[in-house]
Amino acid sequence: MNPVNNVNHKPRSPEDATLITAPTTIESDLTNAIATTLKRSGAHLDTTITTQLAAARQQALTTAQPKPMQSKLAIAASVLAIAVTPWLLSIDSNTGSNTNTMDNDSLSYLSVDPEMLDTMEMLSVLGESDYAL
Amino acid sequence: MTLDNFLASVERRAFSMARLASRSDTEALDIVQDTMLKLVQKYRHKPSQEWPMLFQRILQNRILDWHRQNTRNRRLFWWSDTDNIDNEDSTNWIETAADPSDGNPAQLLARADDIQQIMAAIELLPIRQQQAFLLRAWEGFDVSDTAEIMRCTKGSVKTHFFRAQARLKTLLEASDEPC
Repeated sequence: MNPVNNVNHKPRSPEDATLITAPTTIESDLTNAIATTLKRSGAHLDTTITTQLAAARQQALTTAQPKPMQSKLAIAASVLAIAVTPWLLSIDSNTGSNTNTMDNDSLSYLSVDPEMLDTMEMLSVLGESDYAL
Repeated sequence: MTLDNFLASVERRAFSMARLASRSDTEALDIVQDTMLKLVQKYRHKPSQEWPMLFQRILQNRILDWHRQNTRNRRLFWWSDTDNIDNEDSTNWIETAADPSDGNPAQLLARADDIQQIMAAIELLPIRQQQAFLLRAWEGFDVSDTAEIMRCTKGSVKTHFFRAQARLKTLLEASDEPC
């Protein structure tokens, strides 16, 4: 068995063939022996480390879980804000102009003296006014 | 294959690789956890066939980052410490390259069966040689994939791998010499 040649599932390129055959035979054999030893040792880790690795994996998987509801809500809120803001601004400006008009109207109304209106009404009743019927 | 199953299948080798580079269980665990997190966050929706390559690329980058940072930190306290990835080739590998005539091949291969000696020897390799050797010999990636993972050329991968082989042979031979 030649681990260097067999471990990968992908097809080997010509460079790999060169790489394997370029060194002396003892070096290739040594590399294969080391690869075999490394693979064998891969499963032999401390229980503590294995546990820590499993915990790290779970943490990575849970931490990195996308939160679909939150992200959807955020997108919806952004779209709503973009769509509604100009409309709100336009309403606000329209409302502002109406208020000004009303203010002017009320000011013009207030500029007429109510007592004078009463006086004119009284005169018209007495027939002294030009507008009297 | 689910992502959980995939991570479970690679986490031990990843940990061993990170420990070989960092020589610390805690650092290795951090590196592996970061790698898992990044894979899950960014590539969980990729086809499962792409996960091994992506995982290794993240892992090797993370190892390299750790190594660079560690080198910088060490330089702050020890100016003469120049061990980094850039000058790894300053090792006179021609001198240390294996001579087919020396050593006893049978003894050498027997020594290659001892995981402690193997780990100790790999630990002494410069980081790039270590990566190239482990990706090729342990993970079984071909030259192109290894080059892509290590973000270097195929020629560099070949060089790193060849030097690693030669260096390992020398180290294993030396480990047998009487003290």
